Amino acid sequence: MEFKEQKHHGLFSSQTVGRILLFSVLIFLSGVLQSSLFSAIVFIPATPDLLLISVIGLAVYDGERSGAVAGISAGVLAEAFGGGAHILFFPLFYMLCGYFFGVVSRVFLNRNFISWMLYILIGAAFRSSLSIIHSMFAENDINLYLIFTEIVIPEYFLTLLCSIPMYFIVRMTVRPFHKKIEME
Amino acid sequence: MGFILKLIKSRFFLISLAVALLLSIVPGVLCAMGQGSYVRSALVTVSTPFRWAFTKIGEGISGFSLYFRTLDELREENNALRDELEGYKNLVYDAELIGEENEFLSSFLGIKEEHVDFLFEDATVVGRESTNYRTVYTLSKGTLHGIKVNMPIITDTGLVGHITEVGATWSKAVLITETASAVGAYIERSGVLGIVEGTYELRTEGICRMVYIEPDSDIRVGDKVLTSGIGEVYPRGIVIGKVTEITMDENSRMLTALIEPSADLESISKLMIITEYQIISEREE
Repeated sequence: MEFKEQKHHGLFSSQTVGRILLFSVLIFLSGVLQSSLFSAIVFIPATPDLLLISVIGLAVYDGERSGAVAGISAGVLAEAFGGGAHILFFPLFYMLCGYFFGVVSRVFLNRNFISWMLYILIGAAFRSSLSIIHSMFAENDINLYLIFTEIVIPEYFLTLLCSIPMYFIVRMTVRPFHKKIEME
Repeated sequence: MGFILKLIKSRFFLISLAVALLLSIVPGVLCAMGQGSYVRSALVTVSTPFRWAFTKIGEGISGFSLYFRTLDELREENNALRDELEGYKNLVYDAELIGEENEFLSSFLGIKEEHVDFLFEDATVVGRESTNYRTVYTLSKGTLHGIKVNMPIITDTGLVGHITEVGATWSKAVLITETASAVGAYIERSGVLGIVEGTYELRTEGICRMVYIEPDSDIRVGDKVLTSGIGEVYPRGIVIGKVTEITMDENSRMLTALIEPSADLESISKLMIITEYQIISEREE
């Protein structure tokens, strides 16, 4: 299947402005929820990566351009809420995810629920890899067992779990700009 | 390969990559240099009220779940305590039984010390067959335990009766208040002799009478009555009861004393069968 760049409307068209506003709200709320609500609930062992889910969602249902821009925004937000003096490469990571899944969904795979879960499975695996890299840089004496059991695995599965309601939320967000997308 | 090349050559992708790299590195470097990023600062400022609100919601959810978790823990603790309490109740019950048995054995130890020539076999009342004319107690010991007919039965407070029938693991006994019972007795204070027997009228009241007492005998209400050892059933010196009333038989001109048994015959459960004792005959006395 041939790769063609995504068509785009003018930057200041009303549809684009509306899209930016709506998607910004989605990314912002995902970041806020991720860094506040889920962190405050004591019985949840880890925080799901809602930003990643939103970025993949926008990439899949609005294309790789939206995915990339949303990814950069999500990365900045993630660093603002959870970063510090460390360089975590979140903007780069989310941008690559957004672009990659946007292209993959458009060229190779469908946009149904099964495909969605597959994207999240892969995206969460990427995120887990980044978590391990972060841990390796953050600690000298790294305990991989602890990292896997306390961070990576809970984060992975919670992200998968949260992707189910997020599937419907993302589709509802994107729907005004893509009338053809029907709820499956 | 062509696909990847085309992807990499995409101007949008390259610009995005550059911006992402820039935004990944610059804020971190600025932060490391002690200068916060304005964008980061603005984002944090704008998001603070929202994050505060969601944090409170999260804490509320945690508190709510903690409430139920605490409730579950309390329920488990309550069940554990109930089980523990049940265990303690059983222990107390066992201790009470042991206490009763201990008291019983201690009292009999006293009797044993008092009557060194007695040999005892303890028994439990396992049945009580009562008719209009007679009450028979079934005891838990029989021939296998060395029990024989006519062996006397006592409690720590006094004489109960004697064995009338024996099986391998059981025996039957009649009380001193029954009509079938006749016990040689004497008044401890004065040594006046007589026979303690049961009657139909008195057995319902749980008392018996002492007959064949000479009219000029020294006998008073409250006198203690003991077995005299006359006959082949009862040894001498076992407490039967005390005199509650003295009357004179107009026909025979003999005295009759009503005796209240010392042993609580209405509620006996554990008793001792005297399996061996030394018979002191009238001649020896």
